[in-house]
Amino acid sequence: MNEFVLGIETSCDDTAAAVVDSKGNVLSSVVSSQLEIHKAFGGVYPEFAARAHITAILPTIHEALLRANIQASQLKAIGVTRGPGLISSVLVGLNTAVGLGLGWNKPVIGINHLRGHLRSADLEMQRVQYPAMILLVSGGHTFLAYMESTVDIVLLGSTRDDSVGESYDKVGRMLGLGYPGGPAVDKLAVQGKPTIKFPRPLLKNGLEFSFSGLKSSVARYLDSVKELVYEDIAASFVQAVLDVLITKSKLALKEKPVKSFAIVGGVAASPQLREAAAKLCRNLKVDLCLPPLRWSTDNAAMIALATFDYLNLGIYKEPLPELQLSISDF
Amino acid sequence: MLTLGISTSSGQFAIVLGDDRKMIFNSEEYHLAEQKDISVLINKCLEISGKTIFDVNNIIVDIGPGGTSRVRTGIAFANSLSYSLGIKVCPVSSMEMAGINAWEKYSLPVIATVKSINGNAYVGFFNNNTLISTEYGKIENLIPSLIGDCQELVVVGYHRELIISLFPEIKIIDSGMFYGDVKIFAEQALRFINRGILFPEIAFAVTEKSS
Repeated sequence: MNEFVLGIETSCDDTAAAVVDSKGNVLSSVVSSQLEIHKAFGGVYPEFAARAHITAILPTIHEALLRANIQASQLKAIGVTRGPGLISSVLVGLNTAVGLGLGWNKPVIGINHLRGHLRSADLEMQRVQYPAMILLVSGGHTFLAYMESTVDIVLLGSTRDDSVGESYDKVGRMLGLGYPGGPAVDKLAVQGKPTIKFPRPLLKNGLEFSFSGLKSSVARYLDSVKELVYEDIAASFVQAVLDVLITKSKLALKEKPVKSFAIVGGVAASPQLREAAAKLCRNLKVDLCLPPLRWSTDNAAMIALATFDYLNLGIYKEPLPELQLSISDF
Repeated sequence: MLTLGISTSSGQFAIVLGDDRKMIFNSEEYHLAEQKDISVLINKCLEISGKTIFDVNNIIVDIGPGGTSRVRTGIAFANSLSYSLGIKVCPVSSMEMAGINAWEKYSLPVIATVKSINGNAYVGFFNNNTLISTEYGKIENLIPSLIGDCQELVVVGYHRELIISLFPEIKIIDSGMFYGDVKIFAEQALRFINRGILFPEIAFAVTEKSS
């Protein structure tokens, strides 16, 4: 018998709901984006994010159920992001989920958003062969993790400061490319040459990352050089990011041989990163898993799929906010 | 007719359950002042009252103004419970809650205030048992235009002492109250339930003016 989970995701600036079955088939996935609201601020403005979640969340859930063509009575559970994320945004999702669970008499499980991202690669089809290495590169997180299975996860290294997506957005803003900066920076970089020697922080220092120095270096360069070639600045920034991500990934893959290397999170959309990762995996003879872009950014289908892991293991986490979760936490 | 009332705009989350005008549960009587998980309060309410959530006919929710995240917490819960049960949710301003409480005691016009950012406040004017208006800005500017030629009133909220000092020419009674009492959601449910809405209409917080 098919079993369904309703996933709800409001950790940052996207209001999302999805219905997923136990095999990872996505019956519906609805995302209400707040991009237009936050553009003016050059980043996510938490108060406005929470307000927008309140407005969007029930229509988004309603639409997800309609598209999935199922009744609430057919749900096995509701899975909702409990953290990490913006507290005011997380609270909207959690309290909405709890109200639904009470009225529908369904269990509500608080899900670690990071576990959702790691499971996004297996939405719609089993792409990842385990053991696997996962690189999560998003606006909120940057880390490498080793996955023995879908649920046994070991964090190998994460960023000490900014995430790579945050650096992309800030550099995009410095270059006047608007928000979000990532796609625009990548696009501009294609037209330039990596002639500027920006730093590669912690390049030869284990599997931890640091991107704030790189971002500051771009800012200093913009302040100190008179004749600026924005295309070259973008290309040089992207090259520095790639050097760090690929070098660390290579080191991790050599330390822990795996069958698959998956890249998830919004920065996984970067064409340059995809190309460099493909080359790395060809050389190391590892299967590269790049989930469709719709699963790279925040979505609720990944939360719903992760919910099945909790259900299968009999792990029940209260739907209460926990903002400091690590990837190894359920 | 069973009515569930939810108030989260003050520092304390509170739940009441009323059967017509009879209060059958008030979370404030159960030492749950620190509880910030609405489901815990609801479960206690159902346990004590011997009711199930499916017995509830209406939900009344406090939509602030008040602590922004707290208000949203209550509204998110009330909206989704309304949606999942298929029953109406009735949005009620915290200004009206305060006004009703003070009017019942003094039968005088009421000014209720809630502190906001940058020296601003939400100011509600309640008269003849009705919330007349809620404005946002500096209280010294708002109050004269709200009260008109009113010479006697009651104050509720954070700025009570300040208002008394700002307007010495008016007879102002300090109610001693910071917030309205959620018990009116149970005891006066009939007053509110004709405002009930069903999805796709939803309750919103009174916070949009603080941007």
